[in-house]
Amino acid sequence: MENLTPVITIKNLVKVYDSTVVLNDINLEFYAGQITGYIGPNGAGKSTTLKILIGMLEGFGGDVSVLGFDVRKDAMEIKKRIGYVPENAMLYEVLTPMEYLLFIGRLYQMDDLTIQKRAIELLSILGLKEVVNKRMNTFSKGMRQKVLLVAGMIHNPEIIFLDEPLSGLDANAVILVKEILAKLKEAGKTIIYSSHIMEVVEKLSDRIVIINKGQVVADGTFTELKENASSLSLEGIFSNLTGNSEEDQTLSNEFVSVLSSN
Amino acid sequence: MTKFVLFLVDNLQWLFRLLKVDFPSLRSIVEVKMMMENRRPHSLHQKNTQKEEENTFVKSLGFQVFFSFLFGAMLLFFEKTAYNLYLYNFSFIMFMIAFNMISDFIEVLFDTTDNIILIPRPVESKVIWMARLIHISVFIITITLTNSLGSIVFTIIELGFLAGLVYFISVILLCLITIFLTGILYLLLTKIVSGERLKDIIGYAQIFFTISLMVGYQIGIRFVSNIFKSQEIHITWWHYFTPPAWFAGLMEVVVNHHFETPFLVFITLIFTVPFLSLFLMNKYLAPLFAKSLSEYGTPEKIEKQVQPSQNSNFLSFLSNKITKGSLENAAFTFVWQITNRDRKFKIRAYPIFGLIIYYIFQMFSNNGDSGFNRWMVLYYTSFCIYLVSQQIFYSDDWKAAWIFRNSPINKPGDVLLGGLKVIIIKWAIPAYVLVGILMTYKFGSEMIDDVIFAFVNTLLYIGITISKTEFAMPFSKSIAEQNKAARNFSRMIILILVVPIMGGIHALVSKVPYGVIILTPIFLIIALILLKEYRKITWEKIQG
Repeated sequence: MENLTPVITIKNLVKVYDSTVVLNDINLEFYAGQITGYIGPNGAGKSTTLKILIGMLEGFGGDVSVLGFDVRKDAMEIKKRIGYVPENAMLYEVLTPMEYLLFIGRLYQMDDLTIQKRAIELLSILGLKEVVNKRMNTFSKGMRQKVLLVAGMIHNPEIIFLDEPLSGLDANAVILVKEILAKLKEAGKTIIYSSHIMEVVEKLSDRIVIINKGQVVADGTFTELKENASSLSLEGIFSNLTGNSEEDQTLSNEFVSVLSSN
Repeated sequence: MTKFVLFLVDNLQWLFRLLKVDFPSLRSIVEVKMMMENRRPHSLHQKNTQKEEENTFVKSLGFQVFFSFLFGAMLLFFEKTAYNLYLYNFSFIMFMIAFNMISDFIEVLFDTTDNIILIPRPVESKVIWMARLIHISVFIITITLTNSLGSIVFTIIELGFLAGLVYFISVILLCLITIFLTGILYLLLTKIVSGERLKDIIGYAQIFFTISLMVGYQIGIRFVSNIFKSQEIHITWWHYFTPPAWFAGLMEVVVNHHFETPFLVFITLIFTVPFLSLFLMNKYLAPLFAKSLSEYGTPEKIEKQVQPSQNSNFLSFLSNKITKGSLENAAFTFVWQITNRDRKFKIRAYPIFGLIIYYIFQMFSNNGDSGFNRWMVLYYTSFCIYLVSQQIFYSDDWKAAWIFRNSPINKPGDVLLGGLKVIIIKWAIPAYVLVGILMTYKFGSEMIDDVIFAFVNTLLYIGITISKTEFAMPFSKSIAEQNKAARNFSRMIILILVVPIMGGIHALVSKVPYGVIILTPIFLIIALILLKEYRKITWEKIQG
């Protein structure tokens, strides 16, 4: 990683909610042109980290800079240069995809013609051409997710934050989105990818960061992680590091035995 | 509507730039908010069709314009004192604003979709606040003008153009105060209560407003007639804290040229409070809003857990005592729990009981025919219970009812009977016990047999529903279907006629010596037989 340019620098990041420490002294750098898988069990602090990076959450300790801008002071400059696809398919359902994307594009000060041209092209690639002017309240989860993906990238951001981006997509769409992410990487984009689907993270990521109980417990390429762990799959490594592999065995046995009991 | 709002926003561009608000972003957000406002269903305009409707907001206003003329016509009875008349008038308008806010707008106001969509974008919190404020203002100004349109027209007709103009300006200033109060309430509520608790509070407020609208309408008519009789002005200390009194004072000054101290204080308040509100909004509420946005994403405090408690012990005791078989028991518990917790159910069901309060009030106040009011209390209760019983089939989560088809249920009638037993135990018995106590207090113990007979008739009314050709599992139908059913005219007529017929029979029977006492057990047996018939309902008769 010596020749890589850091685009995100996190130093001694601490976040406390009430008296619970959610992020405990996180130190990380994310590099340009890389896909980084940022994974961890529920409640590990993934979403909190992402929200701090994209300027959605204040009140944290430590220093965080994105593209050379301080998250505390220059959140607006950062927001102009990043894209975010949230985990929950939150969008204005009574709008059509075109109306929604026109709105989002305008918030990035894009001109209407560019937004419309890009929107129609991107939506067509994702198979939504026929429904560009239909209201989204009748859309399936997969269709909404596609609109969210386009909304997160329509302004051509330098860094893209993806939180479970494949949620609800069918198998073909998953393959297509994975290809798109790979091409975006080739085009020099930085992608921070958070997901529970280990197989995708394993195949897609140049680097994987595992977080557990607010701390980074592993950081490296998949090959490096494998060398340091006793498992050959990311799922196994993840399970070992987050301390659940033996417990999972016990719990699964208990589950079956409860079902068979009277 | 959207175009008109954008036209105004465009013309106020200088103001927004003066306030250092990023205008292009503001315009885009306002445009989208107005588009959504015009597409969402409104409480007074719910077509519930799959059609993509436009201008739903404007269409929802039609009824209110009509009503504003009916209401405003009272100004034609003006004699001498403007204060009393306009105090009632402005109070009504403020009530209507609050009613619309609570019943229609509040869910939009507290919708957090905005935050997740807008916060990651390069939009300053000041812009989001301003857009929200414009949205609130458009809603409140439109609702206020709609509800005051009739009063403006009748003020001009009765008191002249100047009075009409002052009335119109008053309405605009009233809007400013309301917007400020809404802003404070919004920030206060989002600050002190978490999401779920907030929804509970809104739910109870909706129930309260719906009931008070029904009862207030009835009582209001009597109140207005007292106003017409009284030409004296009584100003008490609390009038200084109520904006309708200030504006009524202004009207008194304009119409009757009364320049007494209280009216001058009112006028001072009118010309300081709205502008002070504007200043406070920009100075303090906007930064507070920005702070609340920055706290967005903070995990909510863990909501109270539903723990096995004495309540659940009571429920399990109850269901074991009054149900037969595990299926009926499960259905009883299920319907009981959902009706306890489903906010939307409560909002639909509880206001139904509102008019009983009015008839009880009438019964106790010795107004009108006490015999008539007595029958109304007895049989409107019956009607309400029937209406509530119909609510247990509808839910926003109606799709979850797949579980009934997917489970090995071979006697769906048991599920239906379990649900009906909840209606009887949870609403019918407590309602008639309460009515019985009140009637015994008012008319003496001889009313007890009448109350019991009305209760038995209610059971019979529920039992007769066995004659329906189609049934539904609890909470298995969408609200859209309910609205469709409500539009079924012949069904509504039958529904409305059954109650007076029952009441009529009761009235006739009560004239025959021992008639009520003899018929009560007979009707009870018939009702129980009919209810038992529910067990025989098969899947062929179940919808969905």
